[in-house]
Amino acid sequence: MLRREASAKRSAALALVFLLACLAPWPRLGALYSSVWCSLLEAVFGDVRFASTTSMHFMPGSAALLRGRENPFWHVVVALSSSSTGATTQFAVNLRAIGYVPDVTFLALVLAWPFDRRPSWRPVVAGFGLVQAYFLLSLALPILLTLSSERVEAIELDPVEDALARTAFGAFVVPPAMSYAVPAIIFTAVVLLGSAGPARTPGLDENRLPTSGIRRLWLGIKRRRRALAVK
Amino acid sequence: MTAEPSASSDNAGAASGRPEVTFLLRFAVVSAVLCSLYAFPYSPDAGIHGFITRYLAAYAEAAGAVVRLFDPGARVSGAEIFGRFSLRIVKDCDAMDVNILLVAAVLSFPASWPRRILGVITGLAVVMLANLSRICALYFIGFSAPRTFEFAHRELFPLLLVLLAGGFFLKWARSVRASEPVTASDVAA
Repeated sequence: MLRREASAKRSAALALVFLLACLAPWPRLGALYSSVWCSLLEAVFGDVRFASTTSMHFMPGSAALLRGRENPFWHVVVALSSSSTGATTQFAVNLRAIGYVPDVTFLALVLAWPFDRRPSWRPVVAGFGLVQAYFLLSLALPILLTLSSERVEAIELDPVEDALARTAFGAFVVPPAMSYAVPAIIFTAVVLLGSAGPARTPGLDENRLPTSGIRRLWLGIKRRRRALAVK
Repeated sequence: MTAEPSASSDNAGAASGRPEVTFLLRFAVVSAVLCSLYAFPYSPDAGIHGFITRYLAAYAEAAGAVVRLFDPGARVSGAEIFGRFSLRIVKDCDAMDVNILLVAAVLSFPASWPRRILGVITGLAVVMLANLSRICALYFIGFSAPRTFEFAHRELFPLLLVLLAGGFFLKWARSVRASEPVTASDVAA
């Protein structure tokens, strides 16, 4: 038990060191990260048109484009151009906050899991996919809100949809702590629900269940699982 | 003896009977509802908007009181702290996101209500103290090391707050499990 706790503490310390090392201001990492994502986003969404007149393009952030902004190289500039009016609306999204930090937090948590109890790769991959879904949602919400704004008016959101988008943006994208909390919650969920993670039933000791009915229910679930495993 | 899950991927069917699934579902619902209530774009005329403005001003007053312990020249006006560096307390500065996640986790954990309420009150107090210290530290970082302000504000301190809240929850849950048997209603409810 003590050895397991020591192993867990060692892994957690390693993960924290890994996370802090990733958060260090590595030269050119931001430019590389944003240009990779820009190429991907441009390849997938570059041809998408809204209301048949508004096109969307992604450009890597630069000091010239984003004067006075912290970490310009970590940003992606989204340009919405209207072919009918000729106007272009641009805004920047910080990829470090919505993509890079959640990614490295999730990887740090995978490292933090004690070596002798590593979850299987499937839930980890699924969790990483969910972190990418969070990234895409965090990117999509400001685009959606700008597309529906008075400046662009490429799409129309009814008041309920608009309130929902603003609430989701304010609740899950804007707060800085969400960059850590969302991947941590996703990791906890996939480890708890994952098929091979021994931490699926943390501390639920059937001998300590005081009610015989609950104990019977618990043993029933176990028996059913065993039967399914045999099949 | 701890119940051992089988290695097969049968969890979809059995999932609904697992206490950790109940915990996760409750946590997701409670935190989503509370986060949405806080982040909802209330009309400036709505009563709750005024309440949030007064709450942020009170938060700035509390943070300003901590800052004044170290810099007597600092003063507070509304939700802004002035002095050698200016700080404005807005919605994200009050660590409400961390508070909400902690409250949702404590309320979703199978424990008796008195323990949950005690956990919520203690947890909120711990996070609030940490956040007031964070604001105070940001004030001093702002004028002594302005180049690191953004990193401290956006990355380092949020990480520390999340670690603090997570650590508090794990410690609280462990203490509850050690002193309180799991009851039928806790597991099945």
